[in-house]
Amino acid sequence: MANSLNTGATALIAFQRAIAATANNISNANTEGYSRQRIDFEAVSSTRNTIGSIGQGVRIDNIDRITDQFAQERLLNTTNEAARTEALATSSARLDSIVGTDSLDLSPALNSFFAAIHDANTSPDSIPARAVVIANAEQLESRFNGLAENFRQEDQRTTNLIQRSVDTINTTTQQLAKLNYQLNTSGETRPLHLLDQRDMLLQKLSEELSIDYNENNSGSIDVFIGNGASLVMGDRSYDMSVDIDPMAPHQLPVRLTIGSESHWIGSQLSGGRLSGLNDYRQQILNPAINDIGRIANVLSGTLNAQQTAGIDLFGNQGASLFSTPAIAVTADKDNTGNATVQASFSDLTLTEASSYQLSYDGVDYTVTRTSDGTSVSGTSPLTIDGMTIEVTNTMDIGDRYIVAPTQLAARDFSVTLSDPGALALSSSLRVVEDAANTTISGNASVAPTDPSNTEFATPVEISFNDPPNTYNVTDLNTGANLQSGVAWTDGDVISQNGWTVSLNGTPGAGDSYRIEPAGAQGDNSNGLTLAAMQDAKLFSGVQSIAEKYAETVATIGTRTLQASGNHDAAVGLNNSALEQRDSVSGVNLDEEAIALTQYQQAYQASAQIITVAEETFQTLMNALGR
Amino acid sequence: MRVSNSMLARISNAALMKRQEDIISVQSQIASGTKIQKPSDDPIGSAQKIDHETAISQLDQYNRNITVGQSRLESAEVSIGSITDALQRARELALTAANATNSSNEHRAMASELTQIRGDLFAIANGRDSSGNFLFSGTEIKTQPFTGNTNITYNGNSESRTVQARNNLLIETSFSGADVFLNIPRSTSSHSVNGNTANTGTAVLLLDGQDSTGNTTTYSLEFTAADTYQILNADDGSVVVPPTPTPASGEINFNGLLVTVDGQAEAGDSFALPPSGNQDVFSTFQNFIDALNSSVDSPSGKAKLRQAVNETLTAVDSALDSFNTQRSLIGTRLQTMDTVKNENDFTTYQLQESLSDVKDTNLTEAITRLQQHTLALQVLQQTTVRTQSLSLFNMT
Repeated sequence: MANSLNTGATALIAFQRAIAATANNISNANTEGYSRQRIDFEAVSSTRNTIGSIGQGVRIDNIDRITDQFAQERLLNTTNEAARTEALATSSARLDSIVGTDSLDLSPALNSFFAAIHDANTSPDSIPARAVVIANAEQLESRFNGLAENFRQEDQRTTNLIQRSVDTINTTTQQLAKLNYQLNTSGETRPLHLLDQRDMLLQKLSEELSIDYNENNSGSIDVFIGNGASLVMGDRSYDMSVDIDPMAPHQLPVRLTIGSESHWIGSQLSGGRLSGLNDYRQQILNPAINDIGRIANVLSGTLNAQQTAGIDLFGNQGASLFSTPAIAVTADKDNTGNATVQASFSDLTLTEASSYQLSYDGVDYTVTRTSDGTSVSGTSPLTIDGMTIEVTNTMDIGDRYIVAPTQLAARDFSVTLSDPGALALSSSLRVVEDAANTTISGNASVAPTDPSNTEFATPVEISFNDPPNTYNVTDLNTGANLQSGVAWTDGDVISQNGWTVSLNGTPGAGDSYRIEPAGAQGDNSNGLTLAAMQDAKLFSGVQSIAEKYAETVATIGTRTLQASGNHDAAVGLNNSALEQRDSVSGVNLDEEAIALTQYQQAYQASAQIITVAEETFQTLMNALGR
Repeated sequence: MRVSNSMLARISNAALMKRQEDIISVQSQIASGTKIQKPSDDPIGSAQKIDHETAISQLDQYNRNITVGQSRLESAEVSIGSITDALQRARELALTAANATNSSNEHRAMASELTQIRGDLFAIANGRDSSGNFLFSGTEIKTQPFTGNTNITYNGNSESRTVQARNNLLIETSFSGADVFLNIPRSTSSHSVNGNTANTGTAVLLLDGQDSTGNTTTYSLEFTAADTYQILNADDGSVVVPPTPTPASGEINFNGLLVTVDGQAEAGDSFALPPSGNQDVFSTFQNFIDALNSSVDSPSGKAKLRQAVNETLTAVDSALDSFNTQRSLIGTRLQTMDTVKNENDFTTYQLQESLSDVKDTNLTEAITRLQQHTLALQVLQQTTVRTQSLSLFNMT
């Protein structure tokens, strides 16, 4: 009887607790990271008597946290990849919409610029037609500058996001260290909610970067990265900071401080949001900046060269249409020498979309193109890809500099010509065939090679001897004989004073040609060559400006599409991992409803046991107390 | 598989988001009319779009160039047409003047009409295009090409302004005035005849230089007596034909030249036979005007006028040839421009079709897609509400 009462009491207590645990599960049905808890009942061991053994009730053996280590691992990994692809995809999508913005689209600006040159060519004396060319050049300038500004903001935003990610990592590792302390000091019974919290923090951390971890008996964990550097060790955590390594701009700009030592660990980090942001910068943003910069340089270099070869409306030799951009030079923080490095463009059209590293071995300087490792060595100044690098004072052995010719190109792209009349539409020289020539070729043409030659504009006569297989060149101002009896065969080019002449057809004996300054107001021959640059294959001889730009845009589009596809795939895997985890650890309310009913009924029944025991006792009392 | 409530909520949520994203994407394609809102919508398409738009813009520009060029060439064509008319009138006047019944007074009247025509010709040669630039001064479009009264000087150059009609096709749209007005062969024959003004006879020399191409010697035909002639090489004084009696037919054949003496020469009369060379159209008029003005009503005077008329007719015919050549050159260029313009238009049309395929939203297809997405969203919303409301707790 007292037995039954006891048995009933154990059941009441057990089911009360079970109901409480169920209530806790129901309350946390929507708590992120909560793992459902299950009560394990155990029958209380029986006492033997003569008849046999009868159990003494029930007790709670254990409150279990239902988790699956494999599901948890998989969740961490897929979360890491989902976060990396998300950072890459969302950043790419931003760049994608920047280049897709109508007001930043180079293509229509290029088209109207060249159309304006054509219009000016049809009436080369028209100031309004020329002014439209300048206005369209300014439009190009504003688009290049606009792109450059947006790229700069993207770069800044990426740095900010890396900073935010590093902040999150630091906060999370500090929380983990605190949690480790609590777990280590909580003794035998492990507080289940702390384990849930721990798993959540790990998940949060692996969103930012790939980690390795090690679980101790107490449930506390140590976290490592890459080659084994610790982020969390027991109740201690180590902070990261953002700092760009100027010599390794392609790596994550992150340092790790352990004690008094601080190292760049960018090369050891992988995965997560951090590496997604870096991938974006290295694989999408920087190539775009370099490509657009190269387009700006090749465009301005080509048009400037053509413009300076011509004559403007005032009869002056043409001046540059666009400015020459600055070249960014960055010194390594560890440099010890007192050198000053200056880089300038010698030929903008040769610009490649890459950065360069300058080093010194004690004898020679070496410039290396980082995109493919091509290098040039020698004494200062060094010339590579249309760029001259000059070192004043001395570099120490091991000192390094990074030279980035395309980085500022789009930002610095600007129109230097403001006077419409200064547009050099006329060619600077012309060939006049002598009226008495026996063979009129009608196709003799002169091409400037070096308009800066002091004798460039001096009128000169080329006369053929009899037989016409040799020629003489005479200065018409001084009568001086510049070349005499030079052999000539069909197809030869005659060079003098910074120009070359080609004759189509064979001249007759005694034929002569006069090379004289041109510059008539109705002359548009240089303008026609300027306009022809729209179609010229200026990029490696295979792509025009518009085609190169189209390729750049398509590349950004393709990479964005790829990033978004990868992100979708990673999210799919992540969702499936979440499902797997939830399937094991998540709360199902119907299940809890059944459990609740089950425990409630059991509780009611247990209460009945007490009633029965009490009634049995009463019956006995009544029988005795008669 | 065991299903948890948070899982159910998350899956429904993600599916709803995805559907809504689909709807927004189609809707913005319909609203903007373009499939390519950003490069990633269709990377290859966005590159094609740039290429096509560049090509279309260029073709459009080429046609604009052609329009300007055509207008300039048409102005030149009109000018050259008026010149041809003037030359025809000069020819009629020359034929009338050759008629022996006309007196010197009538010749004066003709001279004054021709002076008027020559003035018009001068004005045409100094004509301007619609932008106010000289048509016939090469590229020196601000410089008046022809100046002077009797001796005309050309101040332009021999360069020409060209327009780009399509890739790699430049068409000249300006003319060197020297080529059009000055460098005209005086005659289709190799030689011309200048009668000595002191001649007293009535002889007129007619020339037919059929076999004398490349002969650049100046000859002098002199009558040593009324019926005896000799021919000298005027360049070196050597004798080509020693004194010979004039044949009854009057035909003299030497060095590939056939000369016919028409009328009676007097002793001492002489005729120069220089190589024709070029004679500008103004001089052709001026020489005739001078001859008409100095016309005398005597047999020898009439003969001199006849000689001048012959020379004028030869020169005018040669000039007409030359202007007609220029005119047909213009015609050819205009025709080329028309052809190229049509080709450009056709290519533009094709490119636009292709561009539209690349970038324009196909409305029918897009609206169908929108309906599908909307339907899917509705179904999803309804099923979500159903499954969310399914709970044992609702039963108790």
